[in-house]
Amino acid sequence: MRGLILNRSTVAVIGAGPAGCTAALTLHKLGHRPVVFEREIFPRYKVGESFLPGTLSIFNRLGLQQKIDARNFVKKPSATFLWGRDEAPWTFSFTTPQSSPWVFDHAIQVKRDEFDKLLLDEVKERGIEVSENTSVSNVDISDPDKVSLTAGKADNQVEFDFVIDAGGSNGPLARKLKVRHYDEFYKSFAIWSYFRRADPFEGDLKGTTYSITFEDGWVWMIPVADDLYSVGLVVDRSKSSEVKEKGPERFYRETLAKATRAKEILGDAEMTDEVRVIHDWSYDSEVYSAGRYFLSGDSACFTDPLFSQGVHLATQSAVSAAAAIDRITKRKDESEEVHAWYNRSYRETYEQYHEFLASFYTLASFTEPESAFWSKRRISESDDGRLNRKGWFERLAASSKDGTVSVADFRDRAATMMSIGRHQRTELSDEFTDRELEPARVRWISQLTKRLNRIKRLQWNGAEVVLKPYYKIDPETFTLEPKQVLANEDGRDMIKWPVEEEHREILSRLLKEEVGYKELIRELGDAGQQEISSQIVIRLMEAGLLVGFDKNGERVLIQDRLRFDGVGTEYEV
Amino acid sequence: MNDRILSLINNIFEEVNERREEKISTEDLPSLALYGEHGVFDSMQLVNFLTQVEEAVEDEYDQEISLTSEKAVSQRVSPFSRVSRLVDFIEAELLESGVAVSETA
Repeated sequence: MRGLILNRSTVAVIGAGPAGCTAALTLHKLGHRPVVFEREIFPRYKVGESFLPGTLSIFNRLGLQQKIDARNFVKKPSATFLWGRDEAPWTFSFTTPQSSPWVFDHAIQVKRDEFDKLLLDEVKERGIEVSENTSVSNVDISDPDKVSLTAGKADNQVEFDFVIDAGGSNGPLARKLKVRHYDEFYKSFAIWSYFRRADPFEGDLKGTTYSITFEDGWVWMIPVADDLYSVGLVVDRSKSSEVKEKGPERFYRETLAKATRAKEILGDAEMTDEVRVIHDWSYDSEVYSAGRYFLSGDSACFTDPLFSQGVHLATQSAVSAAAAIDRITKRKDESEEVHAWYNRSYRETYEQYHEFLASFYTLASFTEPESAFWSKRRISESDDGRLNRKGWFERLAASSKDGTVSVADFRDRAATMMSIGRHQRTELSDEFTDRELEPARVRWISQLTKRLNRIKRLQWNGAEVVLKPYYKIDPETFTLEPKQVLANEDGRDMIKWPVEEEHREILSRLLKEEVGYKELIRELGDAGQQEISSQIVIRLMEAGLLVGFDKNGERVLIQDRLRFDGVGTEYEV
Repeated sequence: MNDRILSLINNIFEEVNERREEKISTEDLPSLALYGEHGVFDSMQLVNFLTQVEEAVEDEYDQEISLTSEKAVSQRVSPFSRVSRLVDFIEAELLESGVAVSETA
């Protein structure tokens, strides 16, 4: 089974969900030979029905657009939040200029049994070997030159060059490695069912996914088909005993009844399916890849689904794993660097979501002061042990110690975002239009621009401006390309935008001369970074590499933006 | 429509287009929407663009203007909704500052 042809690897892909199929399709596109092992027979039920635009973009570039369009999945233009008691609704719109053919201004919502079968059928149609109804019972990675899988009822042993464990939360390699860390902050579980209900809105809210807080947690409402809503409750793990005592259906109905704003949308809709529960809630891994293995999708990490990021994490990591295998196959001497890149970029993406969620949870906790669920999910101290191992929290705590940012103000990040998307009416209404959000957005853009323009001196944090090797995935070929990013001599870096020597030299001027924001923007623009020069400066400030001062020598703080991959115009993959 | 100011903005778009895969069409520049529905920039791109325009105006007229003032953001019709409105706003700001704004570049 192992690759005999130069520059072509055989890869065992465990699991045929979005991560597994995306990995297989990408490996195939890159000229390798994946073999997919799936323990079930498709179609099979799965939750995780709401996607992000960036996920559609990956499928588009893998050549699936026509097939996806033909199925008329529910178009998702935005996510709408009734977040915090008595707060007006706010909408996170996916509207974005189409700066590339693969940039999307919407996502889709799907019944996963249908969608995942579409993906797997495509894998098969492209001639990729698939073994359904085949469990992988062991993955042996002890040999540095190969991996050995034990699969199927006969416990057949098959050797491969690499393995990608995309086997979900029960991924056999992820379990065997014992590298998983369960999250102490999001100790929740989800319980959900389906309701027959047509979308109540026809205007710009049509197709939106709702997330609605209530005293015991929050509710998702996802239109997965024209007349069907997926309705899930995310509640504290301490409620598990109540589920046992009352039974899932009674617990579900009684708890949903407390979520009055969700019930208003549902009206007298009829429940049409059984009630399901998932406990394995939020976790990440100490290591995402090494040697000849990669963990991808839910086998690697999972976090609270508030921003519908699960399938995007899965597909983005799958493309990354495939691109990494391609690079290592061609450049064996780069194996260590490629794994370092995979681990870093995966962790960065995961942590972005984690930080985003923490801010929204913290904000909601202030609107539900009596609630046990919400009071447990508030960040107010820099020594919150539940957030150990989270890089974003370490940075926040460090900023708090040096007095630049207060941990107590952490909720403001969510508050800023909410203010940009706040509806003009307190109730959900067909009168809502995406356009009504524009004035608030323009005001925010103006304030940020004004603040940046106040910076008359930028200070580099370090004695040197250095270029550090990194990788980026080419958005069309999906090959992994060596790039360089800005860093200081201590290794602190900014990995979002790759740069060249010319840009390092421009930044090096800050070590010797007084350079303001506008001057730096102009110079970076002249060096070919016209459209992203502001973003480079902001990212460098967020990474702690740049500090800005106004004409009086006072520090100018640029509030860290909450951001996550899979929306906007700048996808990570 | 002040052609001299329009020409400054056109130059910025030409620079932006140099690096873009999907070029921004400047055939009918005055009607081009900058931000919002059918706009060519996202939020961060608009931040970048506004600074570039302020710089270009200052270089050309030796006069600092602000596109981020309360006056700019509170306009009933946003100066960022289309290029012609931005040109008109800049012209009005320059005139108010006592700058003689000639029509030609």
